[in-house]
Amino acid sequence: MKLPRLLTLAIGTSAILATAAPLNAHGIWFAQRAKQLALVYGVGADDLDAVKRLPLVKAVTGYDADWTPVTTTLRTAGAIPVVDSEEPIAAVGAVMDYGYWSKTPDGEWHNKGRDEVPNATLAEHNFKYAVHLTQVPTKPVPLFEGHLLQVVPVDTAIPQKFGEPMKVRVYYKGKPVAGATVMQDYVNDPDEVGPAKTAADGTATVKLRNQGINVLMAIYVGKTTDKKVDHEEYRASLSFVLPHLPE
Amino acid sequence: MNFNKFTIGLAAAALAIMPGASLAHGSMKPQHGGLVQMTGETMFELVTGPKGVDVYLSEEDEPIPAAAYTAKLTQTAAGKKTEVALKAAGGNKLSAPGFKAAKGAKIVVALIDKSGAKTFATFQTK
Repeated sequence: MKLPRLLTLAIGTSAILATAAPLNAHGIWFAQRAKQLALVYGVGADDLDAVKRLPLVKAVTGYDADWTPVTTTLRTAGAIPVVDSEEPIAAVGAVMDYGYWSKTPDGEWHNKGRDEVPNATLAEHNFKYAVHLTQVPTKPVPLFEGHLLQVVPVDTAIPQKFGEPMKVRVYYKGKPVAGATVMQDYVNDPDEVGPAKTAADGTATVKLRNQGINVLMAIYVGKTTDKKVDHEEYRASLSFVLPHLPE
Repeated sequence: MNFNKFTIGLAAAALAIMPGASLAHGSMKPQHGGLVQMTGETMFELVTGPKGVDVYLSEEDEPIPAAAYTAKLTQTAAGKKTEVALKAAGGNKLSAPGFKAAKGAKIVVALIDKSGAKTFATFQTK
């Protein structure tokens, strides 16, 4: 009797491990939780422990509709970090430095650079960024300070119906970048096949999938002179909500 | 209180809220002749007059007790910001007696519950 239970447990655990995303696949974005705007750390439906990762958040910035900065912080509210601002905000952004990660031949990831894991098959420095628009911008979305990778709507007005195309431009270190991946729905299609890639002018067009929250995610691997890693990986979300019909 | 409901108007178009925030979780009809704004599921009704400013709170058409919140009102007019505390004044009413709403001003009501969660409502006076 005990053996089948153990076997079941083992199989279940293996299945969970098999479906778990590698840590470098995780990103950050903002989403509404219990009327508040929360910072989410995860991928797909995984909404992981963002509170314990708050020390990794290096900057939080809020803006009003005129893109005037508004004093904005993250406040721990139980299990989630929520946005706290002095005034209403039209947009909020966050920067997370996820640090050095090295992968050893056994497939394990270690929160260290290659200098400490000499047999690493891969060593990278992970950065994660999030920008959330709480309302339709009336002026072009600017580049946020400290966001080395950012997804920006090309047109000021954002389409309001799911299924419509949306053109974005991805900036890396302040300049449009070619070859960045742009996933159109990081929450509901985290394994998107054939995601968009930015063209020479940094633009890509995605289809808005949700009459609700849309979380676009740009991914770019950049070169570095840091000897402790092979490269730097950047993930930058742009999230916003398309309104539902009146109830 | 004799309220002058003609002096202010909501600049709804300017706000153009994207989320379903303002899309009806209860009636949007003013109950006190003021201006209404829905944030999340909380409806704010702003009533201004010569004796001050009142704000009424409700959710899904039910009044919610003002005493459960701390609140403030921030008015921005002609580049100048003025802040005043809104005090619970019985039932679902918050008041700032003596506060004068200026014409062409932006008025933001900030509501903070006991957990620290903050909700804003923005109004534009005419």
